[in-house]
Amino acid sequence: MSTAVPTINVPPLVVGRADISRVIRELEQLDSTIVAQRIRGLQPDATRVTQAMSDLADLNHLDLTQDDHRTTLKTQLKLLKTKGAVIHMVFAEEPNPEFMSKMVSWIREQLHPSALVQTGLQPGIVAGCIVRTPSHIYDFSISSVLKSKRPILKRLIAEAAAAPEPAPVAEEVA
Amino acid sequence: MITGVLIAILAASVVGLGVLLFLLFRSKPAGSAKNATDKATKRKAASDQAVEDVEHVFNEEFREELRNHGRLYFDKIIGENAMFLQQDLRLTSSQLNDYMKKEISTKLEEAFGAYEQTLKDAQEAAMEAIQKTLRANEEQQIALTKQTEELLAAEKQRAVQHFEDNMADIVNHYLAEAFGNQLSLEDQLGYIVGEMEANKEAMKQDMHA
Repeated sequence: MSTAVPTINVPPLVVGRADISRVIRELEQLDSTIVAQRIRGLQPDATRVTQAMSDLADLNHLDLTQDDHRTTLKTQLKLLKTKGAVIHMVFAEEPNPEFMSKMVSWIREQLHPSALVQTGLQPGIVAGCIVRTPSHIYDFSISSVLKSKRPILKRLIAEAAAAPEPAPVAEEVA
Repeated sequence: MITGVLIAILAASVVGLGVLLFLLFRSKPAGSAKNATDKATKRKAASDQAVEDVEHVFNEEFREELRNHGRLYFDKIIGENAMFLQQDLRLTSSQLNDYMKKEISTKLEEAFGAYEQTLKDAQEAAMEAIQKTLRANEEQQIALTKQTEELLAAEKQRAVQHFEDNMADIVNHYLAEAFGNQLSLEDQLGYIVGEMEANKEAMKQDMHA
């Protein structure tokens, strides 16, 4: 059983396993394209790739026109897909790419350089997020905060119930 | 005329009585059977004579007159008696009427008294029954009120307990309703990163494990 770990750096545009799969497919297409170009006697051209692929190559100092680099990258990506550290994050709404880019950058800078992020949706948490690492669950949602602050909530509600009702405010008539 | 007839009747009676007395005092006790037979014969003759005299005095005309007189007298007596009887009847009727009135009044008073007493008893029984019913209703109402209050208190306690148990979810729901889509993830980024920063070491260890 192989105990190898991925050593490549992953750009922020590549977030989760789905993105890794997409990049691997693109690499295979690129392989076919370059083989076809060589058969035609043309210079291999790897400039027409997606931003994620381009960032991945730049970040890892790889030349996509070279077969061994592409093979290494493909191997590392497959390894990353199967063995890479994954962190799950659940939000109240669908996160946009900019937000995810910032989030992934922070995670890879502070936690793990090749961490993959999988997102989930749970509107009930209202705000915040729930983070699940391989061995722990961290609940940073507002509902968790409210549950932990229940004595304070009880005291506030009791004070609000005991307080006299405010006088009705007269609405201005336009 | 009547007086004359009466005088004649009286005179005839006196004559008859004298004849009888004469015959009675003339007869003497005899020692022999012959004398007895003679006496009997004479007595019979005297009797026949008296009868003949009576027949002579009380002839048909005199008898008719006596009959008329007696009829009239009888009519008078009948009339007087009828008058007396009518008076008695009226008096009796009046007394009977009074008696009947009195008796009927007494009986009616007794009946009304009994009826009134019966009504009073029935009224008392009805009042007692109503009071019993009212007491039972009051007791039932008190029991129901107590039971309702207990149920309300228990329900209130249950609602409060439920509210306290789910307070965070309720507030969470209100927050979700209040904020809606206004609280974007961009706004939450600082909070999320702050929380993750606070748990960074533990998370890092998890990721590298």
